Amino acid sequence: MASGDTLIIFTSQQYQPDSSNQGTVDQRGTNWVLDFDASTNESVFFSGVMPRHYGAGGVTVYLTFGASSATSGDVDWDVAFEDAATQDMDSDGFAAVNSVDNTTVPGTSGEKVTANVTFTDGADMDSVGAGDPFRLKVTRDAASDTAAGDAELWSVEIKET
Amino acid sequence: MAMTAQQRTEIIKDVQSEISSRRIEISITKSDFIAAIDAWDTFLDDNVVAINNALPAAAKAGLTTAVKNWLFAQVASKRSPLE
Repeated sequence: MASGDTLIIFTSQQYQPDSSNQGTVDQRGTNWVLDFDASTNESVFFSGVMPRHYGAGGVTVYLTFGASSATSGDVDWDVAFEDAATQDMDSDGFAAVNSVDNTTVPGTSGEKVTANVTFTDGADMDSVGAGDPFRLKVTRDAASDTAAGDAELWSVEIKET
Repeated sequence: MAMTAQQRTEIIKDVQSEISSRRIEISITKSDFIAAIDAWDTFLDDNVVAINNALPAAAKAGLTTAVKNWLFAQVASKRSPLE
């Protein structure tokens, strides 16, 4: 595989909630989404195994989302990797977050937009390698963004940059 | 008396949760929305005497402040109900 290829896709149904202040499942139309509060920073996890065809390069994480009610303003997202291969499950071991800020919500409620966060290979993505179990933590940085109401996360794609 | 900072935080959280669950389109930003909540609070604080004086004598004298506020909210919300 090569740069530009999709490594893994997470849909909203595959989420795992944080122990507190977690994103929550909601239905928008006939779509399952994860709601992230506008007042409190909320997080969810996605767990997976990095595909064997991962070429050990940097990755880009694409977050596709809409807004429950806002038709103006922006949403900030924080994303972090955890190499779960040797991580004690009784604690979290995420690398520092990378952020994508100021993604303007669609002007029409119900439409979606995609933001992306880049990671370099190595420590930036907690040294997750091909075949490694890992977790991805996605947080809405509601304390910093400007869109009123919930953000609705629809999917997450990880692509080799 | 104006709301405390804690009360404002709570109402901002509650209102944003409500607009999300009801899918009420909001075309202004979160800070503008919060400013609107603050402005209503300030307006009510500044006009509490006039609002109280608008009541008939029996209600003015016989209702508690909490009931008067509840009644005010009921009338305001029914004048232009949300979908």
